[in-house]
Amino acid sequence: MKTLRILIGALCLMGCIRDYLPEDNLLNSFENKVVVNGVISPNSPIEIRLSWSKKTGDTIVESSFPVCYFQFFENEEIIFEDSVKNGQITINRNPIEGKRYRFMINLSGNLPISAETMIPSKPSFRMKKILTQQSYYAHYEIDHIQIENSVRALWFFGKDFFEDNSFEVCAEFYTDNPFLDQINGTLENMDTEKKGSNSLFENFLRIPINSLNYALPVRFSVTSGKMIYCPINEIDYKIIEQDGVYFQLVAPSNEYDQYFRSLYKQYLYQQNSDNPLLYEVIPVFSNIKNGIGIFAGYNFSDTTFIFDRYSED
Amino acid sequence: MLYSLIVCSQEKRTICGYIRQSDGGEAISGANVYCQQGGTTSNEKGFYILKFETDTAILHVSFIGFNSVSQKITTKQDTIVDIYLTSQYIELEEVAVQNTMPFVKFGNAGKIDVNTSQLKYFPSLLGEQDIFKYLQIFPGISPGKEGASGLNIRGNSSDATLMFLDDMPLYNQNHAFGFVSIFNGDGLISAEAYKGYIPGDYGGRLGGVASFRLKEGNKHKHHQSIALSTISASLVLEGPIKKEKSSYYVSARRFIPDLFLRGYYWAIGKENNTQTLYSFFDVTGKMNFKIDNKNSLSWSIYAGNDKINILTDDVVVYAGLGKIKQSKTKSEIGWGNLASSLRLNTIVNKNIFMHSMLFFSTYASNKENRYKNYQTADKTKSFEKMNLIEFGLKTGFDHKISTNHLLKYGLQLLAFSTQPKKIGYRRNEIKNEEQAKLQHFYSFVFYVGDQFRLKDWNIDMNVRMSVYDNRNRKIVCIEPRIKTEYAIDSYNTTWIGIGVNNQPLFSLKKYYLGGLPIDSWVPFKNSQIQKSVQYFAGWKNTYLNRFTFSVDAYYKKMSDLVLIFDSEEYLNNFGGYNSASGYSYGGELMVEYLGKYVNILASYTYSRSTRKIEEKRFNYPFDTPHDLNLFGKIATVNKKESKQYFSFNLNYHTGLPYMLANGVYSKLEGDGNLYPFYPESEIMDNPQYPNTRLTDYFRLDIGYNIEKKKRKGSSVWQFSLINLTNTHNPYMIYRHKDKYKSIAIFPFMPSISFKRNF
Repeated sequence: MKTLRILIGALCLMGCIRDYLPEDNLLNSFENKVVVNGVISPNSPIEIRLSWSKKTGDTIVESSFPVCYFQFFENEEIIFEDSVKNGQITINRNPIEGKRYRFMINLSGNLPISAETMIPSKPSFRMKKILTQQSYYAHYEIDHIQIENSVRALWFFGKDFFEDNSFEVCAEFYTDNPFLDQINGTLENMDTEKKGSNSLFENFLRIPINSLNYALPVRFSVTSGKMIYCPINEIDYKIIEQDGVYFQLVAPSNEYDQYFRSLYKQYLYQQNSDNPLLYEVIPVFSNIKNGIGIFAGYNFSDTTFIFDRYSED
Repeated sequence: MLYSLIVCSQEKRTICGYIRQSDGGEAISGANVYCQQGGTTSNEKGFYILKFETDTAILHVSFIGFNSVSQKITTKQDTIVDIYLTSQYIELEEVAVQNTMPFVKFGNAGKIDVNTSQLKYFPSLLGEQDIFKYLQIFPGISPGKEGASGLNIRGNSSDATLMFLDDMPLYNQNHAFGFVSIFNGDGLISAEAYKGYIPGDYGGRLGGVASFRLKEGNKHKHHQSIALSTISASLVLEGPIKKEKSSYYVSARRFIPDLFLRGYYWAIGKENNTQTLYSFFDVTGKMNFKIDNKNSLSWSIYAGNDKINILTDDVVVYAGLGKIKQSKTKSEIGWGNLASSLRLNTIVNKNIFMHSMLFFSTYASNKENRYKNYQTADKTKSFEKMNLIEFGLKTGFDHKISTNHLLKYGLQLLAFSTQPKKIGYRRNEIKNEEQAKLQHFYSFVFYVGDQFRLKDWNIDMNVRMSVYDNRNRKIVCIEPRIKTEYAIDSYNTTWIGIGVNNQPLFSLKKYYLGGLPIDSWVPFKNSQIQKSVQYFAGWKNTYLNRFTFSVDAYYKKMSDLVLIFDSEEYLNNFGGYNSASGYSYGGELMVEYLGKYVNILASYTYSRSTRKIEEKRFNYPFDTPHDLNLFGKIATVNKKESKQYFSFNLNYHTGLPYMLANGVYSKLEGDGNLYPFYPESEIMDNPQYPNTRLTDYFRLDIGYNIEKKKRKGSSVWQFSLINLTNTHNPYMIYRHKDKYKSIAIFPFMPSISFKRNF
């Protein structure tokens, strides 16, 4: 697909790129907005951060957030209220699945800022490693998923972890399962026989709940058995081998799903678009009333696979 | 051609027949037919009916771009008279323009009649004669984004334009991602666009109607032509099947750069290479049969497709064993139309003309992956498809009540079915398929229209009653439309009118298939039928068929609009749309001069188009306050054996509304940072609605045509220079390292095309 994009771009572009100066009133009309970042799950205490949005082109400097009055509700019962400084809110309590959460912020000079979400029930899934390692690619199969129907989709992430306790996110999944959301799917024909697919899904797999029964079993491969060359000094380096891979199946609230889907679309079709034909201005979903950002709940299950050591064979 | 038909009343004579081109016999719609006692206009099929009370009448027939004809008719019977007009462009030096009796031409309120013979002189992008781009120079029709072949009529997007080819609706309007229209310009005999008053037999869109007619084929002799443009090759065959009785026309066009690319891939060897190929083709065909003096039958077909192929062969070379094929991967993404219609035109009696048609139209897109491992014999195939099909039966009558009174009525039965998503997967013996629920939609339409002329007044009105049924709900829509025209004198007409339209089908824009944005269509949900009411007025001056000046004004109010911003979410019933209302208004000026050596068409449009979601009003993405076009053609050499023309096209319009982020905010941190993308960037705080405009658009294209008569046939070379001033017209703006950047698609670009007629 990358080749395709380059080809289409070359055929149709043949044009030029120039600096562009937007109308004055666009830049002058900028107004600071309150940004809320709060993604909560039963596995950790509730943390919410408040900040200001910045004018495009301004140097990003975290300015302190003024004192505001913060209220937090669980199923409409208030569980936290206090003045908070610097926009850092930590509530020493883990969210509980099935419950609804809401906050309200009173900030001088602003309309009340609020949002709500819920924590979906924990998904369960069963997966196994299939086939032998195909060169750099390990193959897996998810053959069972159980989840409540209220979620719109399931997200599947992975992390490679190494012998020195460092980790990398799995940047690429390969599967020819067409029942997945194609938002991040592209065609990639290299090493097809080793990957078992010529469809590349960057960073995650998203399974729409409507397609779940059709999608199973989900067979996929990821690069694995990696070695990382870590410099010790200017001359020497050591090789760190991958110990295994950690997978996480996320059941998102509707807010989480809409936010990350639109965020990824913005990344794919706007910020990372190398082809003007595919360029699209994507507003990122926000459920924050009188502000921007996200307040969303999610729940997840996970599993880990430990690898055999990498072999050149 | 004159022959008698029916003996009828002694008081009034009826003359009816077809207005045709002398060269080839193609029917001409919209021609003015006039005698001292009244006048009429030939209908969409080129048929006219005229009544007069004396035994002798002088019939004047005129149509823009053709020499007027005056013919004396002496008869005591009702008579069929086919009248043949000669193109001014063909006989420029041989025939002096007759200064015939001036006539009043009604029936063109807010309607554009395109003289397709001018299309070949229009400076062409990539050498393609593009009827859509030619239509865009007329007032009230805008292209939208740079280079696009859309027809955005009076502030609506192109999906609000109902598009017909020989009365078959077509749902995909472009090749090559919107840069080339689906029609080969060679094959069209006429193009009409209705912006204001919409005739009763058309409906179902808010913007307007664009109707194209295929050539019927030469009824006298066989012709062939081949053409080569910068990106395509085409072939045209036409001629009589039985002289004067039946004819055929076939046109085929194919994208050619991929053929060279295939040759390149073949030369370098396909092993371990990924071949990426894009191509399009279209085929149009038409056959006409004159069954008898009263009945004629025609069959039309259109097939067009775009395709992207990606092919990889994985071959490993082993020492001593040679090359061993490991695997083969083939991916294909395609989309296109197939449509066909069978039409019967019948002169029922001296007063009634009947036209009936049966048609189907399909639009489908498909993504398919195939993989085969030669070592393990593992085979997989996956596909994702979208398709729609529409069947229709239409019948209509033109019923002449009296000299100045014409009734038009008819019935239409339409069945529309779409499957927005069909996904399948097969791995060896394992098979899995998911189909989105088929969405059906039926419409039953009855319309009746009345055209009444009284001295200097002409009143056109129609009521279209549609029953739309999406199987969950039936909705009855009544669409009344009326226009009143007044002839100030023989050269000037003025009009005023109002029209109601509804749109029960929605276009899903940017429905991603394999990462590519593909359009799809679905019927309304619940009771969400989009509505519009348009008020319009205008004035037109026509002088000697050579000079036309027109002014139009309109105000259109729209309600219950469905603005879909996420097709996937909309299909899954998770929202993905906003309910909106809106309005558009504007004024349009057009000046056209058709001279012996010089043709000029100038148009200016002032228009505004806004939408309102909840309490927020914003400029619609196709809002272009100022739009100026100037097209000219000058004959530089005008000899019998050789003609040469210089042409130019200038386009200026206000920049389109655009959404541009003026703020950013930080990404999530901590536990929320599950997503591995967005490694460094902030999130762009894009607005929900356009908040700025692109810079104004300016483009000057020039062309030079060389036509030479050959011993057999003729040849035409066209050289075009697109964007002569190399103006940087932004297609999109993006942010890069804290700066805004703009990309222009078409810088200065030469193109060449060649056509040989036999």
